[in-house]
Amino acid sequence: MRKEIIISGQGGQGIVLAGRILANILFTEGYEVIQTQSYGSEARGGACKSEIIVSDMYIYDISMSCPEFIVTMSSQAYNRLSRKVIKGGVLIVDSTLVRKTKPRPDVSFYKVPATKIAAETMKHKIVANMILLGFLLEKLGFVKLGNAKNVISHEISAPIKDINILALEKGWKIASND
Amino acid sequence: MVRNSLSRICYNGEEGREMLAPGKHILLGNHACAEGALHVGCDFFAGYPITPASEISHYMAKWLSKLGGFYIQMEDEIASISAILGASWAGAKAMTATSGPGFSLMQENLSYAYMTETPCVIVNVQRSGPSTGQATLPAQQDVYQARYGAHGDYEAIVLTPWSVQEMFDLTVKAFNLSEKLRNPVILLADGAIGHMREGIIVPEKVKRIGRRCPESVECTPFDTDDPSLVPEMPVIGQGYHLLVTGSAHRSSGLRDYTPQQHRDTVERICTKIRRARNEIIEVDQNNIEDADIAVISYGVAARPSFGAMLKALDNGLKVGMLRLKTIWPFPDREIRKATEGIDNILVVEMNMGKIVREVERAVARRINVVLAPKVGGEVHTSDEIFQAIRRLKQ
Amino acid sequence: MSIKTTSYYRDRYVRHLPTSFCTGCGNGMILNSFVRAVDELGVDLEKILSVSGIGCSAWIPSPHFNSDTLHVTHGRAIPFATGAKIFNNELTTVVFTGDGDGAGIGGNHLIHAARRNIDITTILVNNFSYAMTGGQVAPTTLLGLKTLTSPYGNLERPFDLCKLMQAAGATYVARWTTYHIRELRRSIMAALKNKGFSFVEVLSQCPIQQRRLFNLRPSDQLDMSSQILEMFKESTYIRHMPREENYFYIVPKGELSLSRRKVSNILSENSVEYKIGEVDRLFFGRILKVECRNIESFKKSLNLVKRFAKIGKVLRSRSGKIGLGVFVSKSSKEFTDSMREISAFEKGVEV
Repeated sequence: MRKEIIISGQGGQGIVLAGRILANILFTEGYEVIQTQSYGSEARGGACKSEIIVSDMYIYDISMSCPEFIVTMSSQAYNRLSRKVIKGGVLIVDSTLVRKTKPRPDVSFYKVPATKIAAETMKHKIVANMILLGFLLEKLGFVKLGNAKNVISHEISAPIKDINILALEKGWKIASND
Repeated sequence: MVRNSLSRICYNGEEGREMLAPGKHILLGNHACAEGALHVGCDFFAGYPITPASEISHYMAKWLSKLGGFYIQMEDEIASISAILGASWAGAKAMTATSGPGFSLMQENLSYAYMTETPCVIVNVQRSGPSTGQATLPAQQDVYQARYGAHGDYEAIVLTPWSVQEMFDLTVKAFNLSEKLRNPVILLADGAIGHMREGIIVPEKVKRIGRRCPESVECTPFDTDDPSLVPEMPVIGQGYHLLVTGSAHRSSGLRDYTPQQHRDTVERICTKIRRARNEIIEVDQNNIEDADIAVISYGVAARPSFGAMLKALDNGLKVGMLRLKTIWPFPDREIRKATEGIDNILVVEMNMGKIVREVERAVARRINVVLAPKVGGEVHTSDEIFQAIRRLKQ
Repeated sequence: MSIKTTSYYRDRYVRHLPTSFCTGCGNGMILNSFVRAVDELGVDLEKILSVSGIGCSAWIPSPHFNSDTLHVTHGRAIPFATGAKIFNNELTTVVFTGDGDGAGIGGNHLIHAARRNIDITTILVNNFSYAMTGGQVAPTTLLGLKTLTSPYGNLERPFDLCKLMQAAGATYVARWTTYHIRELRRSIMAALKNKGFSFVEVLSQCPIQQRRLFNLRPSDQLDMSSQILEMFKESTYIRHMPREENYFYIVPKGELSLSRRKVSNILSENSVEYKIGEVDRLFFGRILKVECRNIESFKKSLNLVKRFAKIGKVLRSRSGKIGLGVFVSKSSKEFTDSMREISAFEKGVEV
């Protein structure tokens, strides 16, 4: 098994954090993981991307070639990456921020208004990344929600821990209904 | 009390100690290198910020003090390597980390370290060059510089990790070799491995080797009768009345410009490393006995090369692999022996062709050697290398 | 207290003889001052670390000083010393450097060490050129001087190193010459005692290069080395001493001996008791020095002033001279102490 995942958006959206947490979750589940990230020249407001390769065997090919899951949190990221999802893959966009999309009938295309949900139901739009992560995890299909919550509670410090876990659960729930 | 990586996941349920606990962790390559240094007893680090090596500095800045070591950011790379050599003579296990442009600046003092036989570890997290190039993209362009960048005659010890695990393990080996052989050791990493996060296993115990200190103040820090040819190394401040100089010198350290003495010194500092090659050289062999084609690679390029070998085997091709964990001293004997029954060699590296020349030299025209280079900052894919293997067969 | 003979110092502090210095070199005098300073302070010989780079001054400690010495690469003595001192801050760390080694290639390290206020004593021997390699222009070579690499005259102004060190944050800064040998010894002692970055600049004679550099005419009475020392004496003043007023100089426009006769005539005419001589001065070359007791009286005489002005430029006793003495002597948090405080805090240990 080998799956390639990309989470992308703008600096300041918590892309790097989401990627790191995802890698940690997969690692604690016992998989082989390779995680990298890249930034635009400005950390804030520049394009930002986190790439994860997960496998049940040692990973020799460390380059991304067939991304199966792509999450985009900005139009810029969407424009650059939407065509890269392989046939049969999963494309998740934050529909609050990514307005114009083109249909891709060959993939499972999910439009999640994560920023809207975060702002309205959680009062912090910054946790949109966790909502999308939760959604992604459910779609991945081989991660346990309990473990994911556990990892977040160790990764993120006390004052904001709970809201991030809530956001993750929310995303997961939305995915399971979708 | 134990902490886990820089994320606070605690596999052993505890928190707070200075070094990572034995067990599984997911870690950034650069952090694994620093962690390896801490485990093997590094107690002095001097560095200067440079992409993609800065994370090593950050980690050391944070954790070295907690273990009783010293971290300093110096004003430039020349000052960094100078400081680690000074600290080494004061008794420290010292290390610095940089990338191409900084590594170039360090060459003069590296030459000093070879001549004065000063133990130290230099990490070069290679980036795409020449010059400023692309700071965040990896390459393997400095392999000859690591061997010959410093002026003069000497033997370099250069280790090439291919995974985050080896960033840890080979850093440990680097320190031990450096102390044992009184020679600088270079960990030639790259921006890909340095900047990726991957699972590693921190061992229960890490072997620590220290330099031999002379018992009497009447000692010869620059010569020895020992068959290893590695002299004992005194420490500053303990009454040895050290005389260390980069000039040609005799056994006491006193300057000596006679051709005889100079020759003896240069021969000894080279021979001591050549004699120790079996301890230094590590080559991972896979499927070589049955193979017609051998893929030879090192560092990050070896990763997809291994994947390509597996793919080729699945496709019925008889392919084996030699992965060089150490590139200098060059494992020519090992390669010659392993490739006795081989028809074709494919050398995979991220440069315009450097180690391929050494391989050609080692097999001396007996075997067809082909290069699969890649320059520009992207790592090879297994498929690319597999196609190159296929073309060899035709 | 018994008198300490030369053999006392030599047997205890000097490792290798004969020295490699040229005859008359200032380095021998500096080594001497250093040895006596160390002895008077009672510093533990085993804990002294001397670090030096490349150049004539680098040979002062290595191989001559009988303690741990690191003879390193050009310009890098200070960062080597920094590494050693941080790791073992019980070492009394001394750097011997020259004007080229320390302020040229090593300039960056010099200012950062001062900024850090790390407890290292830097003795910078300033002989105004890169002497060892033949006398090339250096960061302290005077403006206009001709050297091998400034054959048409040096276009660059020299550093005022003591001002530079003061600005960089050194906590002890002093300048002396090899003529002022006792003050030098006392300054070295104060520099070693100072817990912080100490900088002592020593203007030193190089009888081989400076004859050409300063265009000195060899004299019958003195060897070149002594001549240079006299020039140092004449070209410097000690800052904290009261200004001397009983002499002045004239930089003649015309030929020297002719001007001397003219000045003598003027003074004799006015029945002034005087002494006139020719001296070497840095910046000015060979000029006239007039000593007389009641200089005040004829300063007011406008006529005399006008007549001297026709012969050449009149310089007062301190004009155009280099100031010597202690520029900075203060106390400030030392770098390796701060590092250890942090370590102790991080380890949870009481400082």
